[in-house]
Amino acid sequence: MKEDYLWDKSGNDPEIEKLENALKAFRQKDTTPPVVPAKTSTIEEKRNNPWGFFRLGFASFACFALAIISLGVFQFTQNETQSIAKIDLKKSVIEPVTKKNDYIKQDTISKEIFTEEKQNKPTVVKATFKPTKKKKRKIINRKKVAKKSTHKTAIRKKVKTNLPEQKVEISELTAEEKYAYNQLMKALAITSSKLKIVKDKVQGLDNKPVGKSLR
Amino acid sequence: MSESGIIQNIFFPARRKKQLASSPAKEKPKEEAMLVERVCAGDRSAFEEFYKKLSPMVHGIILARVPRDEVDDIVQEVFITAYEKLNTLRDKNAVSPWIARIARNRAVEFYRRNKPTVELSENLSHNGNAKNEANEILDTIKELPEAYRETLILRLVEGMTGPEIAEQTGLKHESVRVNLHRGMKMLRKKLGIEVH
Repeated sequence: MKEDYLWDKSGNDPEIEKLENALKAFRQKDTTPPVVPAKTSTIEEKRNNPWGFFRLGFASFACFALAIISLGVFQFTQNETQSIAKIDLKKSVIEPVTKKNDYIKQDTISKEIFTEEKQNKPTVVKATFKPTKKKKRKIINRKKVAKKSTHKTAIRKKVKTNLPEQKVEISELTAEEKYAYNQLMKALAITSSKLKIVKDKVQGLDNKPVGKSLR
Repeated sequence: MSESGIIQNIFFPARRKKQLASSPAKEKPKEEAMLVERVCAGDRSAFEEFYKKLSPMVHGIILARVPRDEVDDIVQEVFITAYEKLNTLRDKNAVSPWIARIARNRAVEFYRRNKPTVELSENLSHNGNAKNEANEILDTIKELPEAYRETLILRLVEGMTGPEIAEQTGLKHESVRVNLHRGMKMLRKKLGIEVH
């Protein structure tokens, strides 16, 4: 079988044998291996390499630094959000305060109005209790008894409370009420001005010429 | 066993037996891997063994591509490169196809670095010599397509069998067989009368 000899050298094929013999001259003659470096960098050597340790150290340091930076950034962003939240809260707190200020202003206005009214109106007289001579004596006697007794302070307190130094004051309006009052006053002012205009027109005191109005 | 193996056993038992006989044993790649590990560990005797085993194949691959004078130097370069980069090889069982690829790449690099040269025929000095005949045959083989050229040189010059060529170059048995058959046919045609 010719093909078998060509494939696995089984049997005989003179043609191919002749070619083989002719081409034997080109076979590799020198079978000595090349001179290679004494050591190769194996995996184990790489592990023992100091540069490898340095790399590991550098990598770990880089990781640590990165972690710190990321933590810092995270905290910074959180603080920012918290500060924003605080500001918001403050705003939410401040807003009613400003309203309160408005109310205070309004209070002052209303107080002014009240003072004007007070000036116009008769002032409220403070009702003071003036004890008579008999009652004065009674009180003095009570005081003497109290001095003698051990419960001085309690009696004194009672005496103080019994003292009729009550002041009758005008109850203050609440902020809302004052605001409403203010608005009402404004509305009244507007209506009064309008009424005045109407009144002037009716009475013929308007500045417009009469001829035009006739037209 | 793979599905194709089972089918072959059932329908073509004779062919399967023949293939098993011709194919390299499964233990061989393991031996090769052990040899590679020894070389990696710095065993010089292992490297010598490695060189003796694979140098014919490398020589044949380079001889098929570059001028004869340059072949020995390039073979040495290929083995030095392989020795340096042997640690990077993932599959230690596939060392011979890997080194064959290095040899092919190195042959291509040779033509990149150097300008193409024309070899002077030895017929000028010695007419009718046996060496001249050998040169003629080799030149004729070099004129063949690359696939046929390489397998024919490995078979006829280096004296390797078909299964050995398949094992070391990483080619399939069938393709090596086809390359040998068709290459031989073309060579006979080209040599014609002289071979007879």
